[in-house]
Amino acid sequence: MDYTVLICDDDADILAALEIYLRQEGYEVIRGKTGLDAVEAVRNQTVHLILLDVMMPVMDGITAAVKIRESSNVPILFLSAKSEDTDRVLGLNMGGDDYVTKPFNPVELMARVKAALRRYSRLGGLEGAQAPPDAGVYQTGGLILDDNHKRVTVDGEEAALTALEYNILKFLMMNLERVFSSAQIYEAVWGEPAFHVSRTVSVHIRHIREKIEINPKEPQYLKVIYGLGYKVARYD
Amino acid sequence: MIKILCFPLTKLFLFFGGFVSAVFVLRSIHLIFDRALAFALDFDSIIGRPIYAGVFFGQGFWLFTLLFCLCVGLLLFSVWSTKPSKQKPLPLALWRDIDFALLALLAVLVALASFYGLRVYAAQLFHVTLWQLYIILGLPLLTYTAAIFAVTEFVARVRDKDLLRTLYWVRFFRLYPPWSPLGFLLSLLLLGSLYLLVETMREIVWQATALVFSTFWPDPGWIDPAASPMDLAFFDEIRRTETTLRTLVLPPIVSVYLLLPFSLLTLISSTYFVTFALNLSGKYAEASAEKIRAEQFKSELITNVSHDIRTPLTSVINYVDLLKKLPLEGDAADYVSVLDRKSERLKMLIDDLMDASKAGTGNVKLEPESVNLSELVGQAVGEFEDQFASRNLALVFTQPEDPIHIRADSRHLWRVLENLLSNASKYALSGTRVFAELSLDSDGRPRFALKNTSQAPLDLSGDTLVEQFIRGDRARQSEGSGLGLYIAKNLAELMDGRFEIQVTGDLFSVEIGFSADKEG
Repeated sequence: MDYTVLICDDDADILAALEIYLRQEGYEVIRGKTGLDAVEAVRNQTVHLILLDVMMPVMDGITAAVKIRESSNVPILFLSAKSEDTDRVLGLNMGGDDYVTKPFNPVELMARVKAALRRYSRLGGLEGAQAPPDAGVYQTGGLILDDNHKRVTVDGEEAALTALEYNILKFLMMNLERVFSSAQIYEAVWGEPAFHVSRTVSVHIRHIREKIEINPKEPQYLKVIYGLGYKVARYD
Repeated sequence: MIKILCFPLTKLFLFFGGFVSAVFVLRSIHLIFDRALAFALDFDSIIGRPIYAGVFFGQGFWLFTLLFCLCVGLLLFSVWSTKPSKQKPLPLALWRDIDFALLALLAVLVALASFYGLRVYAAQLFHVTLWQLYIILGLPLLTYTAAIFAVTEFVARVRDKDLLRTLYWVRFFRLYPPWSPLGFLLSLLLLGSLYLLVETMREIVWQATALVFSTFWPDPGWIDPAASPMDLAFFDEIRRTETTLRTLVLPPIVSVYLLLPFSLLTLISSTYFVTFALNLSGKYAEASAEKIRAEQFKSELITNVSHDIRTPLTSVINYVDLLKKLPLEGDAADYVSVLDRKSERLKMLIDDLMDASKAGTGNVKLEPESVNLSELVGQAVGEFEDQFASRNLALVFTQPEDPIHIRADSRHLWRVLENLLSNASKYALSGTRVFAELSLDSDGRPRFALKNTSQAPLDLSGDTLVEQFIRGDRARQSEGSGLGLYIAKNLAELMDGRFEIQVTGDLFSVEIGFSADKEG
């Protein structure tokens, strides 16, 4: 399917670069310069995803997102030079689905765009159908672990995990949002009494993250709770 | 009409008018008391008796009261209506503070009392001269002048809306309320001196009227030669009664000589003390407010500048990335490669700059919680396993048998460990061992130490290494941002930890000390 992405930024050079990247990925591109352009574009045209800058004249990105959310569920990815935690939280609370700070890694940005589009289409935003969860299938957001076929896919793409990695992930995904210590994970997966295992477990967790996360340094699924353990976050 | 009122001449006229009326009013009060006393003591013979120099004006009491109120009222109104001039002439500037006006008032009263004493003794020792007479008459004028000054200053300050600011006592008690030690002391002083002040003024007013009209304190030099011995006896009687009455009402301390200096001293010293204390706290508050503002400005500046740098940097990184995708050959490819590395470094610098500024100014929101330190360090070590392996570094991790728990902000503690391990993975000599030790020292306090052999020779001390980026006077040899140690040190110290670096030859050692978790 041909997706149309709306990009909105008051910096013309960034817009130009974004357009090149998106077209390379095969998307149609609509441009905007202010929040007002974004709101009007969503109203008048079919848009599947919005890349929205925050600092814009006339109407900023946050206000535009709030307005767009009044009538549309289209995925919004904020792009901003404001990198503080407070800015990120504000963006996500005001209706953004993701928040990417500038300067961004173009490869990572495209991966996030792809993931957001897949999530949107699969979860019924476009197709309107939702597959009922099967037994033995564990899912959170775009991460699906199919125990019947021993497969792990992230937004449709398969991840190649070793047996240990698979078991660790399965153990965590069977109990979404629950934090397990390294010792608990070790005993459940290795089946042996745990003694000073945090380093070992940490290494495997890191490998899993590198395989399933778009940006292992900012994991969306497999989160490290420092000083306590690990968990897989739940996304509905 | 108001304009006429505001003329200095008018004010002067009103001033003297008020004084004259006051004189007569005081006399009449004196006479009234006189008659009331006589009535109370049932001296029938008094009623018809002439009273020196005063009875003639007795009927004018209400008239003169009215005149007094009119003159003083108009004077105050004119002060209120006068626009304050931009530049206060120096003498008036000294009256700026009501406390000093009070002080001046008291000073005048001191003069009054000392002249009173002079007069009494002088009359006894010398004959009363005309010169002394003038002085004696001048004393009530002085008193009146001081009182009017104080009141007009008060009115002027209310007019300028300056009153609350210059009322030292209000400000002082706001800072040091009466229940605090300092405030309590000052309250005692204030109450004491106020009481003394009231007593002094009562005494002096009494004495002043007596001086002017010499009825209650007849003196050999003042008595009408025509007065009969009966009159003298009568007045002696009245004086004794009055004294008895007064001593019944007043406490033992009646002497003007005791009252006046003491109350004056107390008031002066407490006023100076109060102004001193206020100035001090004012300066202190200003200095710390200034410091806070400077820190805030600095951190806001860094935040804003880093935002502004990020936007053009985004385009640089994007277009360098696009260049890399183009078919480039030879020199062009090399140049692009350089651009790529350097722009990534810029990005890292900007991120670190923000973190460094926040950590350096303490602008970090810490959320301490109970943290399993053994787990945390183990997690951090595992994270860097691959990075160490890629540089052929063997990471040796030792920890005690039982898990250690501390109270800290886990996120920022992770950041500290991350910086240290990252440094070690970048700057350690390939093929050597890196030692990560988690242990308890002799006092039972947890400590974490990271030791590695440095690749580049270290010619600086530990402290200099931390500050080197800030100083900027050492040639950068590495690809790291250089701020890592600075951020780690500041974060550790913000969490009440100890951060030490030791450099011995090629051995680089960093140690963090924690306080033991009180909850255990």
